Amino acid sequence: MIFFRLKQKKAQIKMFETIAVLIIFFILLAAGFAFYSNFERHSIKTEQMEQESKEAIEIAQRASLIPELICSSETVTDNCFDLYKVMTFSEMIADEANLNQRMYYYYLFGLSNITITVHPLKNFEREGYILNDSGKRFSIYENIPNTYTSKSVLFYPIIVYEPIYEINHFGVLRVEVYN
Amino acid sequence: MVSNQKRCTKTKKGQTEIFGLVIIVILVTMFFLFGVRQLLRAPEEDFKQSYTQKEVAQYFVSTFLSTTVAPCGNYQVRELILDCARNQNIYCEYGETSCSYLEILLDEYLNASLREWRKHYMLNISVEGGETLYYNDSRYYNDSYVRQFTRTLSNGTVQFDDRLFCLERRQGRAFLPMNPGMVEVTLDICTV
Repeated sequence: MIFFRLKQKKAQIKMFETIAVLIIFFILLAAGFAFYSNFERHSIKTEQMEQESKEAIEIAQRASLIPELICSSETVTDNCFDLYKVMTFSEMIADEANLNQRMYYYYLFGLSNITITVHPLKNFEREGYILNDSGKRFSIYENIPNTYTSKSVLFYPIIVYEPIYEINHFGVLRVEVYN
Repeated sequence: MVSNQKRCTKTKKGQTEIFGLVIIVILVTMFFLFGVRQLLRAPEEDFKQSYTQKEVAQYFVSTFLSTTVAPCGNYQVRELILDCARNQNIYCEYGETSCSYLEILLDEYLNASLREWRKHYMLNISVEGGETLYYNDSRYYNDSYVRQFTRTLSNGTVQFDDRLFCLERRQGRAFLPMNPGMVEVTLDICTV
């Protein structure tokens, strides 16, 4: 009888030991899985951010190279925008009647907001100059969604050329891309 | 017979334990390899930041140099810089010389761009192997940068550390020929 009880107790201890080992094993497995998935989640997020950045840069490059805005010159002039083209384009895109044109640029710029700011010198006024304030902003394209998860903003210094007076203004191209 | 059965049970028990041990070794190796991979992985560089900073630096220099300065007789900034380095013959509104007007201009354009975008920069215009015509960096308009890049020496004095100020830089550069020599315009946009 005593021998039987002793054997039963021994078996119970063994079973308890096995259960404890299994519990620890599964805890370790779960911790490892949580750790790994956390790492993966982080790398996926980084990749997604990189993708969004690339898209923003692509849109910014498209905006800085479209013939509708850049300077007309025999030689290639980097980051130069024609002031009169910018003004006309800005007016055209603001007019809601031009639905086809707006649709066309939607394929180029997607969900973004593109502006050009011209910075003439402060206190500089001269008869005949269009720009005589401390900075003028032109909206090139505006399609801001009501809700978005992230926003990438890029800035580039640009030359804004005024062909009639042959003057180069200092300007800033600002591109906001929404995701 | 009994002894044989006992030996068989013992062998089976041994096999099970070895099996358990193998599983533990595999798991530990997997954790180890994963840890090593994470440690050896190169630090991720902010793609957008590195790309745009390079472009912004180069564009700022080229844009700035080509800008027309109407109050100085429609000269471009590059001509003002060269005049400042030579004999200062160009006079701007209110009788300002090319050198003093250059400072006004740069202040204006830096405010409209790099300072507004909170970029960490160093702009230097100097004659090759000679005097500095203009120098400005972000610490002149933002005190927090000074605090960020100072270190306390053993004698208790606080010193600005230039090496910490610009660890990684993207550079925009232009050379203006002067005959003889040249003027060098350098803009460093630093990663903090």
